[in-house]
Amino acid sequence: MMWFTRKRKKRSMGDETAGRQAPADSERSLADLFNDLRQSKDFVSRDHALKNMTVRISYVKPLIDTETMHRDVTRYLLKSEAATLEDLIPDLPYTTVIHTKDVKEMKEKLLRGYVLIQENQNEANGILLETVAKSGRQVDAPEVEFSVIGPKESFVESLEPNLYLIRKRLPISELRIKEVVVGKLTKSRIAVIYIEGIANKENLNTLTQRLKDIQYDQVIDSSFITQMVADNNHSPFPQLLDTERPDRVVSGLVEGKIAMLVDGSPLALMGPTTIVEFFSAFDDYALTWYLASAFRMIRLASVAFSVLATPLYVAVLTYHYQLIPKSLIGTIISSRMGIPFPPFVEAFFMEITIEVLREAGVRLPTKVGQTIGIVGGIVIGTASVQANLTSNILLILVGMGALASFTTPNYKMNNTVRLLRFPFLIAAAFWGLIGIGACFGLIVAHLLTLKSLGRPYIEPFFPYRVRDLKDAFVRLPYNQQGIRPQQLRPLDTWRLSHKKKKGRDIDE
Amino acid sequence: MAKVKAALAILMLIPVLAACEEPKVIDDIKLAEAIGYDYAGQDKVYGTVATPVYAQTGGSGQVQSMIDSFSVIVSKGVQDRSLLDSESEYPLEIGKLLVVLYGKDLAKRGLYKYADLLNRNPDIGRALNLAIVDGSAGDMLKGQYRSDPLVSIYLSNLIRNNIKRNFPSNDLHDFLYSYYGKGMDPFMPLLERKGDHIKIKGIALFKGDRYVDYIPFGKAMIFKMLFESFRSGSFAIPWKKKEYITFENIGSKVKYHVKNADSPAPLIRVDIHMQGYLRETAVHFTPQKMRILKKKMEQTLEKEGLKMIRQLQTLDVDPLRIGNYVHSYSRHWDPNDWRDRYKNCRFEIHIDFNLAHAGLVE
Repeated sequence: MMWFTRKRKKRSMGDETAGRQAPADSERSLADLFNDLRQSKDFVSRDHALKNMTVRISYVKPLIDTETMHRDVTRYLLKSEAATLEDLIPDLPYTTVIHTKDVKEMKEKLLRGYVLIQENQNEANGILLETVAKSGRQVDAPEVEFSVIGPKESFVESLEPNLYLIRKRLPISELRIKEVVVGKLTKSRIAVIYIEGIANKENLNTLTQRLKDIQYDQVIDSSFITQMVADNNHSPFPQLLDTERPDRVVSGLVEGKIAMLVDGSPLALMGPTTIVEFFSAFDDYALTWYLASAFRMIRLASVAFSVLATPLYVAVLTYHYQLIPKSLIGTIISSRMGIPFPPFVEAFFMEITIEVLREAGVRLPTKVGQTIGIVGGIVIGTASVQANLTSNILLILVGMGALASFTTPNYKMNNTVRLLRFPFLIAAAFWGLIGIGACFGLIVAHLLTLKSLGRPYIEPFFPYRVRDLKDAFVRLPYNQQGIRPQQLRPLDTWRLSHKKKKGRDIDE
Repeated sequence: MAKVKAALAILMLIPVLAACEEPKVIDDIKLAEAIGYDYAGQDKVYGTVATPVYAQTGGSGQVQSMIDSFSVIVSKGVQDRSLLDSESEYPLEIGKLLVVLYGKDLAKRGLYKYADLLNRNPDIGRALNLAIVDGSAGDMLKGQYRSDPLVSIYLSNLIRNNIKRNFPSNDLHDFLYSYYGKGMDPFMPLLERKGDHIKIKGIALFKGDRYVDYIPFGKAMIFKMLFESFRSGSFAIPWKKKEYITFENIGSKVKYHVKNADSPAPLIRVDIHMQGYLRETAVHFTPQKMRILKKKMEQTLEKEGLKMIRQLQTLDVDPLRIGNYVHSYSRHWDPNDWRDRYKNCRFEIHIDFNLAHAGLVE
């Protein structure tokens, strides 16, 4: 381990010195900027003769919307009778015109889709007009976190529409949106969103500080951020809740969470979070509380089944035959008859097959993927039983386990569950039930130390807070949900209005 | 660094600890599901083990099974396992033992040694059924029967299902409890082979660990009524010339009260509350007749109960754990003089029978 660390340190030091020459934010002259940009063919810079003056218009062509530019800029420029740049400003149909002498700002804005208008090409004095090209996906129905009822909107890849989706659901002035730019090369904009007066400033400061500390050249997606700001980046458990549903983000914000949107990523991040939130779906809040609770329990049971089914099979069949009921023993023995492998090899083989199928299904195009999944599952399953390579009981368990793991509403948690069964499987093969117990102990110990933005990760259970159990295993009715989750330490703990509740309906 | 060390330590445990427990893969062992012991001369015991053999299903889902049994003669007190292993394809494991049978001849000479053997083995569950065979236990295990092809399952089901009804509850745990407990004696089912069937002949009574006599199966319900509270079972009482009326029990509660517990002849009152309904009868009952029937029922059961207790007193066995009840009422209970006092105990049985209804055709 030591030598790895040393190497990394050396390299990072070298990086810093080299970074100075790389395209950094160092101040440079206007001429340098233009020289740089001209190296690319998509940079346009040309003179326009107006009625009383000549201006130089520069922009990066793919970034701007040509139509907007002709409609809102060129047309008015040609009409204008201004003789100086300052006089030109009122003639333009823009409310915000950036008039700047800062080369750095010019560069930034040019590269974000602004048009630069100068009186004199060599003088660092110009006005910047926004003509950003609005291309990108339409707001679509959620695909990962699908729900039968409820809103059918999901985030897209640009920040502004995403912010709109949140803003329109929270028309309050307390909604705060801060921006942090991260990534040496990608310069990704991250919007940090919270509600003033509810969200705890401590959480906000932790998150902002961690975001500002990020040093990496590219931040393509919010999942990069999750790993970079995670409290423990070696943990298999995701420590920030990711969602593609604006409604979920809003309900998180209302509870007092801090949300993040990364420009270019359709997934919002929320924190601090707890492990139970990864197993709650939108439907849990759309159905009556006991239905919702029952389905949530089924989901949690499925996760337990998915992780433990095959390891238990291996442990019981290898070491603890006493546990098998007498009427089941015949079935199990006959189905294992003639199989040349011990239960562990048999189970491992099946689990790997399922994982291969799943991985292949994800990588292949949608239609082919489905076919491969069905054909592969049925053909390989049946064939391996008939070829006496696995017992059909194990096949049922593995199939059920794979199916059960899909009940996890969160994709990242889904992957965690998927991998978690392998250490259990190995422990079961070597130590039987004791191994499973030990493995469970290790995972619980790990979870106990885990934090999300400095707040305990398995909070309603440890530290034990009874009030937060109202939305853990069960989801109690809304009139019982008067207090915001304590884990978030919200500044305003009370959800309901402080007015005394009237007992009866008006017509009663 | 510390974490890496911890992880390495855990990894090291795999080879170190993995050898502690020998893997017993389910299809690489032979499960001894039933064991029979028979008397074979002075110091010898004839042991028989029945293990199931399953045929490969090949995905068909039909489980075909048959019984395989080995017998061996060993000296008393020697575990017959090593000798039996020499006959077995896979090592024999007794963790799924369901039934242990003892020949009557062996039972007369005392079973402690064999019960102790079961008691010591941590692989064996305490819910194991013990039984005495009128005849040879080995022959019973080797026989072919019409019911389940596995004699072990057949026996286990036979005993367990009867315990749910008329037969008093009884397993290894109960046997050991009664054997070691003061003021009580164990009992077991007594089995008998009838052609291609096995039949419970009655309740085998023990004095200590030695078989003494048995109560016929027809009277088992009376025994059970006195022995424990239970919720099912049926019994018949005579009603005018050779006619019988069958009752179905739906709840019977028994309580013992002891008076003069320290005297040479304690008085023991048995209170039984029973609820039941008519099952089989050819008689049409008016409410008046019902009252008579209720009286008659109570009288018959009381009489039968007293008769049975007297029989047990004469045999000097105490499977009803009377001594234990007296013990709980007495400060100076001595197991040694109890044997003498037991014979002189006076009994009263009070039965309160509640006839819930007379069947659907009331």
